[in-house]
Amino acid sequence: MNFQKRKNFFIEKQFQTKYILLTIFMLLTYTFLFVIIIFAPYMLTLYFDYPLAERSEAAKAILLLHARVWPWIGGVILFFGAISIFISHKVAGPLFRLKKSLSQVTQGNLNVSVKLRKWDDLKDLADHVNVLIEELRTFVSTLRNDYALLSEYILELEREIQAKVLTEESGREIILKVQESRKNIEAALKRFNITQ
Amino acid sequence: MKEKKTYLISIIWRRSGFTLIELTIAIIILAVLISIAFSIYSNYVNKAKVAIAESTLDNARDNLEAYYTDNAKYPDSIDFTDCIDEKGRIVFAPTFCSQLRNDLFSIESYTVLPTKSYELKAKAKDTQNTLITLTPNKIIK
Repeated sequence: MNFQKRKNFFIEKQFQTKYILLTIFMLLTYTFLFVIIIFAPYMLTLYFDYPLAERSEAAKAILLLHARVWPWIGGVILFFGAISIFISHKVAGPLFRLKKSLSQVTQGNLNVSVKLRKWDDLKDLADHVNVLIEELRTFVSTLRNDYALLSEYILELEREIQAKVLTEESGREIILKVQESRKNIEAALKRFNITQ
Repeated sequence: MKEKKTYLISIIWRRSGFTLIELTIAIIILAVLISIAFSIYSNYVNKAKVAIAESTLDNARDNLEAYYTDNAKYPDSIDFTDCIDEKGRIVFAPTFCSQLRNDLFSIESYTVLPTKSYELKAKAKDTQNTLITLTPNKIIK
């Protein structure tokens, strides 16, 4: 499967519909103003009782515009409506990917990263999210490491107590190791700030 | 200052942007406006078509006057497919003849009146097909 090749351009339906409608809305407003500006002088000539020669000139202009302008306007609105699908996809595609990756992270899978296509927008945001996922990953792996170490020390301590060979020296040694793991965990926890 | 600015922006755009419903309402309002504008517009297109018919008939009157000076009478009848009179003489030049057919919806009737006058009835191309009557001195809608 080719990752660079887009298959579905209409991926975030609600988001993209919104932007297509917005584009059409702006085009219609523009058309409205455009038609008023273009037709107004001729319409005014027809509205008031100008001489027949002038009125027929205005009438000719109106009919000519009437025949020429509308197909173009219709074409332009359709064209830009279609283009807006592609433009909004430049944002919607990355958003879709971010959403998918983040939902994986919430489910506890930290082995994901957000990969964007060459021409996609929102690369900055994707980089930030990737850094966040990476940090979570190191955090979890630190905790996991130190958890393993601590369990090992507890086992050692238990064994020595059972065999009654616990000397002050070896006890202190274990305490030192435990302190070190504790420091590691503390450092990892310090990365994240929670106000209580 | 910065807070104020973001506050203003949040009023304009809200945090979630604009909703689909808001946008749909805006488009519906615009559609109503456009339909009103369209009825006004088509009214003017009709007016334009009537004005064109009038000006064509005005031209026809000039042609008939020219015929009158040449023949000392108005044509007794006109065959509007070729624009010739009952004796095969040209009343309207071929280019004007085709323009006549283009700019008018139909030519209803042509009658010569005994008092050095005539009456040409034609319909314009607007939706109501307004009947226009041409006489030597006036155009009656």
